[in-house]
Amino acid sequence: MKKIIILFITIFLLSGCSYRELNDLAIISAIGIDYDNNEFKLTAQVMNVKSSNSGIAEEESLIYESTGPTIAKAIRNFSIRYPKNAYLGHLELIVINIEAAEQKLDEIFDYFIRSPEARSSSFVVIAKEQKANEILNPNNENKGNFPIEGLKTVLLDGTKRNGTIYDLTFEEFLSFYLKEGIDPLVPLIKITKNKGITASATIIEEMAPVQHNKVLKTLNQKQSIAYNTINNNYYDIIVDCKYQDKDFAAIVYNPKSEVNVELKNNKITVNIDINIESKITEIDSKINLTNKQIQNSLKKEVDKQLKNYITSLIDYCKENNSDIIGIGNKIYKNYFKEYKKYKNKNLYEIADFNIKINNKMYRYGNINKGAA
Amino acid sequence: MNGKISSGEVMAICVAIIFAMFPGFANTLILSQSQNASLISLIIAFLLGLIPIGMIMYISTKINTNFFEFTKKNFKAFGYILDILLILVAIFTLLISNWLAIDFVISQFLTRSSYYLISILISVIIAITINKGIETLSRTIFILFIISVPVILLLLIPLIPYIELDNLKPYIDVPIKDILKSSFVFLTVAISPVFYILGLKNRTNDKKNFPRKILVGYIITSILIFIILFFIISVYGIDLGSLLTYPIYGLFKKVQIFGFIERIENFAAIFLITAYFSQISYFIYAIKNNLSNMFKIKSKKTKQIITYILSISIPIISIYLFKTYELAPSIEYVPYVLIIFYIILIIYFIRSLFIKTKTS
Repeated sequence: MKKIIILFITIFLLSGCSYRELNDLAIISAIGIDYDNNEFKLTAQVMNVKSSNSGIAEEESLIYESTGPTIAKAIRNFSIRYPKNAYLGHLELIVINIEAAEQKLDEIFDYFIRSPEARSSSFVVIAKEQKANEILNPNNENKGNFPIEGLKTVLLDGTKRNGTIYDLTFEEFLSFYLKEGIDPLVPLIKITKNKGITASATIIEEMAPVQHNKVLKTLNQKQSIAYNTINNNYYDIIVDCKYQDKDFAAIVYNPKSEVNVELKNNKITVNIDINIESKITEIDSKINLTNKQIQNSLKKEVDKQLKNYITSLIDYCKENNSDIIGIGNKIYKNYFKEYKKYKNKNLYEIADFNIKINNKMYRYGNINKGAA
Repeated sequence: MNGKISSGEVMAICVAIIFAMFPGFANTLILSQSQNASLISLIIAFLLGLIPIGMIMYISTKINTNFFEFTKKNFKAFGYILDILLILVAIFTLLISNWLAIDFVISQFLTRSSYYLISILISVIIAITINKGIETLSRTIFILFIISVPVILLLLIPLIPYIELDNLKPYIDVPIKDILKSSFVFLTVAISPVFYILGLKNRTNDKKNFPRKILVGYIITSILIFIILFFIISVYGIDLGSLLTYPIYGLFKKVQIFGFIERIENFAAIFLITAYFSQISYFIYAIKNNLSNMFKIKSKKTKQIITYILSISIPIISIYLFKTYELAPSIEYVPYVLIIFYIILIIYFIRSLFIKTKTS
């Protein structure tokens, strides 16, 4: 009898612990962070699912805006203007304006990693050309269909199938940021307006490194592909090449790359070994692809193109003194005692680079010569 | 029920009470002190820890009665002082582990709930389990052990693709004294609870294997902690891994199975909570036993009341002390306080060397 009473009391007492009605929650799927006039301006895309007259659930998003001297305060301030409590448990995208990234990145990291609610697997992008508010609320209507699912697909496809961006999660961003001798690369989001077309498009197609709280110059597409090849970040991508002044496209598969840094007698040698598979996907030439010589020539063109991409990336790092590849990090891990000598130096100016590409080209698609 | 517990249950209790102080406390301390050398410091601590474990195993071979009688017989009046010291060390450990348990539950799950309310609710469950007897307590711990350890290990499998062995380098990035400091954390926090297992010697039905089960429990827990630290450092990197209060819990937030099964970190939390529950329950049981023997309490009802008082008051005192005096930052000094345990262990060991074992 006593146990039943205790059980009964326990049930009633437990049911109130942290219980919140779903209708009272503003489930935030994307959040934009701007920093202006010493305060944060947050823009949150909130999921709003309601049933229409036909009984089908309609999904739309509401835009919540608030300000505050800190992110924590700004999030609390949502409830001053809106009737719901902000809930970050389903946060999928964090858009950080470049000013917020350059002035308040530490604080942003601290809030989101400290919060038990926020998911550290949310994607992070930086808005370089516009405010985060303009990205999330482009028409200033406080209501709309911000394409969060579409953007997630763009981030994932852009990484896995184009190799031009990287689907950086918040946790990875923080991990790279804290690591010694490497600068994190962050995808950039912007809104473009095509000439003659009134509709705007939100795109993520470029990346830029963040170094000492500064967002550096954007990488071009080739440099981004080089980065993703070195870091084995994609399944397959298209590489455009030329053979005898004719265009051809090759799919590069399954990169298995390694970067090894040797430090001998104060000389740094960086060996970049790229192991890939490739196949011809399109060729503007009537050539016989079963000819071994031609195969080798085509393969060499693909290798040459990839090598150009990687050299372009190395030149970028040299020019901007940005360690995207992580040579400093390799020295830190493998030559810990000597690392102090090389810290904060432009290692790309003093290192020798050896790029070796091992390419297996054994597929040609459905036809074995050019269809032209 | 014949009031006896099996050697498997002894081993399960050993694993749980060693592991309980690691999430949120010892793990974080070890990672922040010895950085990438945490694994090396753990290996050093494990090897050094075999010495006190060996001493505990040796002492256990000399115990043929209940632990209180053993102390009284071999230390006479001084035995009471040792008993009181053991109770005080146990209460100290309980104050820490109660705070760790409740803080974990509230910070991760029940953020708006009262600390006192949650502690009372947990305490009532613990008190009921203890009052059922050591057989029920040990069987509960054993079943929770059987469920939670394989779950944890299975949940680590999806994290294998995230492992970057490069994150383990540089293998030694701190001075040797920091490595030894974090070994010391393991030696005090992991080994001191094991001493209280001696109270189970006369309750087990397999006395011959009792010392071996202590060793097996120690080895299993050390391997478990090693695996967890390995995953934390190789997946997160030391910079992020040492920043988090509950890195093991955060690690499981990354787990995604078949692309759609996610948010399973709460299964991993079961393992942490069962470790806390097991240590707190067992220690309260040990204190209750000691007090009952010391004051010659034979009445079952009185013992039950003592259990309820201990179960409810210790967490409340713990929360009060931590909140009022803001003791959370001082928690890094806990290993130094637990040195008292080693003094007690040496005293028992030296005395045990002079005890002749009766051979049949």
